Amino acid sequence: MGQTYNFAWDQLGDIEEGRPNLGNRTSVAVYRLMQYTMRAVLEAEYGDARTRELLVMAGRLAGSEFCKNVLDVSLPLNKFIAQLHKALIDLEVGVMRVEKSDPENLDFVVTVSEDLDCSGLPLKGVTVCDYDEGFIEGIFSVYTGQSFDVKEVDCWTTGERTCRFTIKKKAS
Amino acid sequence: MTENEREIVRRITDVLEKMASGRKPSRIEYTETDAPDDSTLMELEAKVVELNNLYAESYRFILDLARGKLNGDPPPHNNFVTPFKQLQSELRHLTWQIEQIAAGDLDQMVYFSGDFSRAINQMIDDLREREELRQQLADSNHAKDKLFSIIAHDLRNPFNAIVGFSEMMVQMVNMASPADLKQFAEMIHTSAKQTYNLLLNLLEWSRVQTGRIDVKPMEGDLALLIRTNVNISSITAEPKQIQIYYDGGDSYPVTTDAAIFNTILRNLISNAIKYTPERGEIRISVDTNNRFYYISVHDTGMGMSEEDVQKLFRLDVIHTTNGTNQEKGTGLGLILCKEFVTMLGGDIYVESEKGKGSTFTFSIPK
Repeated sequence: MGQTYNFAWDQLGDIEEGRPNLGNRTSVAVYRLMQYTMRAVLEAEYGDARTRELLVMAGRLAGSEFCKNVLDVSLPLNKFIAQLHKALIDLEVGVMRVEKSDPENLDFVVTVSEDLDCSGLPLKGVTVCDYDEGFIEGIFSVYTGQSFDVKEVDCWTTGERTCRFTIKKKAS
Repeated sequence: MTENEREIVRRITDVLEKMASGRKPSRIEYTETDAPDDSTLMELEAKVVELNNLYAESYRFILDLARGKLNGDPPPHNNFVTPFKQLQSELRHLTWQIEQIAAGDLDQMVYFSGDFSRAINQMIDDLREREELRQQLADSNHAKDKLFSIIAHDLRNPFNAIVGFSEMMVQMVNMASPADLKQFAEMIHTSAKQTYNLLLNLLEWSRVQTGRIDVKPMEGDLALLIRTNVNISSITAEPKQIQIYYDGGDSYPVTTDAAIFNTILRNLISNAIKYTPERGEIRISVDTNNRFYYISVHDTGMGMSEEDVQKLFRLDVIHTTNGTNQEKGTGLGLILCKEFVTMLGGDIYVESEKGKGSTFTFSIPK
């Protein structure tokens, strides 16, 4: 994470004060409208590969800020994962489950069902959760202080019913 | 129906019968029949062959899954296997959860098939309950060890002094001067008083341990309670010429158990007297917010290191330091204070600096 971005958590604003009646929630369709229109514009401007890279970078920034501002990084790994699981459910992002964890080698496989980004999308034959890849990478990087490769290997848009991510520590 | 069409129907029937038989399926190659009259029939055959091949490719994966092998790789681009991949994912996560439970993480909650989840979650609840019981047993063992230690050392020593000095008095009654006899009597008195105080604490502590103390809050005046304790304790402080001051206000309405409050304050003042040198001073103050009173007992005594502070209030650590006049202590008084403060719904804190004194502050709800 060598790059510095002009982002700070307080840019999210005081939602309680700003939306006293409408509150802190919006619909999934609205979130996807923003995500996929932005994606479409980026693809048109920069092509598919660069768009994916940009989405991963944005997700990584979001994941690392989310980890720093929302999660307790002092917890041991299992408690940290339980905390992350609960946070993602509480925020209605998705249901994260661990399929495999190798804490010694920092090698994990997790699935996310009912994913905010993709569950219910039409089949495309390719994965679309690039932003999620970066998000997970950002969280694990902040928590462990190591760099990770996160790859989505299954997605709703490839015909699966849950998204599956492999998370591996980058070889130093 | 033409001969070609009959041949196609025969092949379709053959494939479907094999699939329905439950035998291990094998891939088949689709062979296009020449000049069929019904192209829909050809299309149907192609679909049936595709279905057979998807099933054949999935078979090993599904069989492995059924045998509990959860790490098999599903065939790529095969939608037939999608629900089984979902099952594989659930089973992998379940395996991971069971591993965590086995490693002692009893915060796991399993959501997988109603009856199964209920049974596992019930088991986790039972394990958690047993772990709590085990912890209670360990605490009880620490309490027992502490009790034995007190009886073995702290209760025996003052009795040794009483027995020793009284024996000397008996032997020397005709030879000793009145001043010597007075000194012996004072030593016996000091030891007896020390033993009596210790017994009082032991008795109260044993009542706490066996749950025989009920908190009976009543309306009263905190300032009055403190002033009464200050007056009583001043007599004990007199031999060391220690002054005890109450710096608080005239009246603080409170609803608390006065007897328990008195035991807490009596112990803290007694401790302060013990560790304050002659002609020192002890100050008692009261702070307040919306919900609590904070009562502080500040002394100008020996103080403690950070390491010693960490050992206070703990049953599993036997930590005592003699007073400025070599008064003996057991640490039991502070443990009792902690238990009693908790019973009243408050908390207790210590600030101390070696050589400068200590401040014990406890809170009680208003």
